Amino acid sequence: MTASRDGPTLTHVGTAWNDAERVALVALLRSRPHGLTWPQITAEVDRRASASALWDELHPPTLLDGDAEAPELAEARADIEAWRTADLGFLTFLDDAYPAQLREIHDLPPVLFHRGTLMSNETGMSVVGSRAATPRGLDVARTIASGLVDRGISVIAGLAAGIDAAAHVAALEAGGRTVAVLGTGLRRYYPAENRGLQNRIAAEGLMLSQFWPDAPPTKHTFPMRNTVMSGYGRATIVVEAGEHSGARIQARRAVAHGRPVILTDLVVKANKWPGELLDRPGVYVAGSTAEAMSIVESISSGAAEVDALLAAAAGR
Amino acid sequence: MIPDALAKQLRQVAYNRVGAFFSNTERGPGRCAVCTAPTLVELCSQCAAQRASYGTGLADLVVPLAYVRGWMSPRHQSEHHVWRYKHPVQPSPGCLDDLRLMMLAGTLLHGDCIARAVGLWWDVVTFVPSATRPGTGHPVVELARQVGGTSTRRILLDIGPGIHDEARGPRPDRFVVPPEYVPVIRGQHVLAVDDTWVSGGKAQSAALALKVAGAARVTIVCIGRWLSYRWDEHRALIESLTDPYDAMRCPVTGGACLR
Repeated sequence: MTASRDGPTLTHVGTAWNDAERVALVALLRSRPHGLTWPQITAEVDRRASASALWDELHPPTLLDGDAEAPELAEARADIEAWRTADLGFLTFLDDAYPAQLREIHDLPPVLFHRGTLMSNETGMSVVGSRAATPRGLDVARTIASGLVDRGISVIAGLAAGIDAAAHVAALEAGGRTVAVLGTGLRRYYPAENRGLQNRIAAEGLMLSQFWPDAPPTKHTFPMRNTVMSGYGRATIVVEAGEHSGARIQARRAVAHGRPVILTDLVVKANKWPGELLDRPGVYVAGSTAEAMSIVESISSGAAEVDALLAAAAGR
Repeated sequence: MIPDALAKQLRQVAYNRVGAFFSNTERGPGRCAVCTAPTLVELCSQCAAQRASYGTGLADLVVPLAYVRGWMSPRHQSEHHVWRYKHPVQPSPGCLDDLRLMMLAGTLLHGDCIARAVGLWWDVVTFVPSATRPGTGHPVVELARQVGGTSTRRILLDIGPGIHDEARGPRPDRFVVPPEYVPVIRGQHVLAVDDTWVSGGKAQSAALALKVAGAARVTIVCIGRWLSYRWDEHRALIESLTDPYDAMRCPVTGGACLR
């Protein structure tokens, strides 16, 4: 390969995203040709704006092929039809209804299942922390969640026990909107004790999952879920977390995405990992819930500030 | 000169929005004097070959603002941004705004540096058109609209007969200056905006067309200098990039601004 050939050269660029494209995407993700990973498939499909173009490149026609559809494609088509008739929503990352803010992150989930109400351009922030939360941590999570609701910001959490559940419940009790991002498929109830909460969020808020509907929890699915939480929200607020927590993973993902992170001083004092993040762009430490809320407000007004700067320049 | 308060605000906002995944381009020993790619000599091999063929027909100054970390797996956020902003089916407005902000900050904070390096302020702004989406329908236009400066004219380049040449080297006929704009650019300094510099073949083709049509000076400003993780020498640079993007650091000198 020569340097001049090294840029992104495309053999085919898509112009429309339709059911044939959705089918090809699901077939690619299910069959993973040549051992391609999901992030690789997603990046290659995005580069072409077409899943069928990638499918065709990876499955060149041979003389022995008839006109019959490849079995992987037929299976994917049947899957999609079944999902559409079931009580869950199915989205691919180039669909109009796919959350636009999630498309902005480099490790976006290629497919997304949902229950509840999707809102376009939703402004949400994640409240994350440990399952084995202290009473003080739970209290902070509740105060922050209701503070977000007061400011018209949706509360995003991961439906785990502890901080997550406290944040979801506080948001609902404050009459606000909450979004649960699952580490399993949508048809699973995990943890079992949050079954009632899960159904309530599906009815009143939104549940999202990047996994096939029957996918079980694994040690890989939870960190992947944290990536989606970072991407769905405008910021991540870490209430209480241990050295090897999902909250730590989410804080690092958020920094990589260029999304702000608010750490409580509890988190900073109790752990080593915040040290590597403290001098990164968009990382804030809050000494109190009031301080966390004032940071939330400045992050919220940041979008308007950019709009004003850009509009002033374009108007010259 | 722009007011200090505005300069500080631009620096802070750019740091918050893109600092985490863009890093400033570097100048000086070890970096190509034209495109900022890693090189052991003054110019990288591509820029050296282009200069040998076209000399002063090329741009007088090339200003890539930041490095794009290309071909990493998983895809790096900087690569994601420069692609997603112009995605043909589902572009990301947030990515576009971030790049607009970089172009605004870069040209507003360092317009003086560009003028000093070239010898005069730019009079005309244009952009490097896309072969697949020529004209003003391409989001690169939104980047060009952020370029500051007083009493600048905006012109449009047309696609020329040489656009379909598969080789990536510059050619003066990939683009043409429409006849009505020839008097506008004659003897002037034209600033041409592009998103990503890979080999420079496309942007330098625009410079060649502008010079052939009579432009006295051409500056190319682009958001990103594409680095390839598949290449050893680029990979070493990619792995050394740790500093967040700082819009105050001068993209013309790589350090302090020209005075």
